[in-house]
Amino acid sequence: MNEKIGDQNVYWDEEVLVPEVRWYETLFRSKVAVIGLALVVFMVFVAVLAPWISTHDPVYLDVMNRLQGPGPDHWFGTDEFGRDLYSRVIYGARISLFVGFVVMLITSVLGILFGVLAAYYRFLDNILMRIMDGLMALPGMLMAIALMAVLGPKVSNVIITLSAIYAPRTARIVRSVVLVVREMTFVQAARALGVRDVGIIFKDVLPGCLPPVIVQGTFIFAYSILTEAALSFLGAGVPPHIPSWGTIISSGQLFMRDVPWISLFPGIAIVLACLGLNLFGDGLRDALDPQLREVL
Amino acid sequence: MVGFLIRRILSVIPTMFIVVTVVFLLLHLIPGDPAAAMLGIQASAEQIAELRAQLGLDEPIYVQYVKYIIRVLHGDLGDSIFLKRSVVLAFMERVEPTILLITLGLVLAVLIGIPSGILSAVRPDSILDKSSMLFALLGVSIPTFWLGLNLIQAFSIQLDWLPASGYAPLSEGVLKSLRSLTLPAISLAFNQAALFARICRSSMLEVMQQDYIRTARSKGVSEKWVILKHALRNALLPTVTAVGTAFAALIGGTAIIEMVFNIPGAERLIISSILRRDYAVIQGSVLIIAMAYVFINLIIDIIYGIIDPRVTYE
Repeated sequence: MNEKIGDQNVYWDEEVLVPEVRWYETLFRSKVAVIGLALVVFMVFVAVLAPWISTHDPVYLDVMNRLQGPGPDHWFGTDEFGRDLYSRVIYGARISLFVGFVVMLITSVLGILFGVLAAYYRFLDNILMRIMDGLMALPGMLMAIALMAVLGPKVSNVIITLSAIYAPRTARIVRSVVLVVREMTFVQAARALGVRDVGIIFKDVLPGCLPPVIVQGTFIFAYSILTEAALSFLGAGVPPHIPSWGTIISSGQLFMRDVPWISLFPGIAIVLACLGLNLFGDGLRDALDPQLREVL
Repeated sequence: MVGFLIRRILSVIPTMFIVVTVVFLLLHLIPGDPAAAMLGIQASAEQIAELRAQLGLDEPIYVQYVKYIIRVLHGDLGDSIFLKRSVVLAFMERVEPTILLITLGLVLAVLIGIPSGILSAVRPDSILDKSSMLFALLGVSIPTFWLGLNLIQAFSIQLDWLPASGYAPLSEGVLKSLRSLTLPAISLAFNQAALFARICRSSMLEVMQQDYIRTARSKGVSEKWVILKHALRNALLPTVTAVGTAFAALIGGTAIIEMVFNIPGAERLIISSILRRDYAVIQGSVLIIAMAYVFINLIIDIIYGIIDPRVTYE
């Protein structure tokens, strides 16, 4: 397309005028988001490849070599039972990331379900949101410990407990997004055309709430890693013999004075994993929808 | 305004109702017989039956529920079998270090978080901004208890500056008490400071782009005055809300720090009660903490409505 303005020929192209920047282009242009993603991918690789990249059996007891410092045989040293810490931290990634990932999935599904129901059916709204308020008022960490005490230390129970704590947050966010989307012209138009609620919810409303759910999901992933570690540290999470980052820190606490590295390495692993998720989540939020800064 | 206040206060009732229900159900989630679980494996059948009758567990669940609500409304949260006193009394005896810890942690977080957020916003993309935002990201990625362990390692074991564990009550002197809570409060504050810094930075950046800031600058107002007088006042509102939310979140969030630093606080009481299966204390204490949380949120909302004229009371 060209046009003469004054004595100059001005050319433009509609694609140039409205540069369509896709969300992943924005994401990959942000250096911190790429670093975050790289950290997350690295951690996932470590977890998946654990049997191949570990140097020892993570549960093999070698009491003769207990509490050794980091060295060529044991890169991160050994714990109070002579177990190789490097291998334990590597295997710990499996448990911690698995718990975080599954909790993210469950809270997203439950959050969308309750959020959409509350926003779409006004008679449910008051009931559901008061229940969510009530659940959010309960002190999260204490409820987690109490639930774990009742249910017993098992990985599946950690997942149930964390999902119960974090799902209300996602539900609140989904509800607020759906309340906006359902009033939009295209949704109103669909309703006027006689499209049924279920059709509108799946076709128009759900795609609208995915970005905030995905972003919130990355943060819940990180929170879950932190809370799982805290629960396991207190002995109310993953059973102590299973290597998770929290259980390793917990066993190292007793020997903190003389052999601080037992707790050091799993702690660094937690920080790296959560840092990666938070950086990636921030980048994703800015790329998907900058306005989300207000809610997330 | 009065209508807003009344509606907001009334909205607490259903929330509290849910809290009480969940706390009540907690006891009934225990697989098997709660009375047997409380007394342990050595208890005889008669002892278990006696405790069941004493706790009212023989009655239908809805009768137990109604009775529980009536008791809670009368301020009776039950008695601890192990501590041989009422739950309210046991909680109150342990609440001093917890309140001090939360307050100190919050003060530290404000003192660190808000200035670093402002400095970041004033010079965006500078080294100072980048390092303070990296610190903010670290703050939300570090497990509080692990930070606590490392602080003990550095400042108690290596440098021997501060006590590694325990709590000196206020009756032994304020300074001694504060000294015993310094490391735990830093561990708690780090995470919250990071949040404050991020919120303060983004709201400052937003305000700095407003027209009235440009007007102030074009009138020749000094940059320092623009930042302190014109921008900060408006940018602080979201931060104040964040501080309120953090205060509420810290209530119920000190348990693990009390464990790491061996502080005999109210939340450590809950954890030890969980291990002892002292369900009356668990239920009662969780209820008290949840109530405190709900009421602090209520107060924040009301204060927010008063200080921000833009909030409508609809």
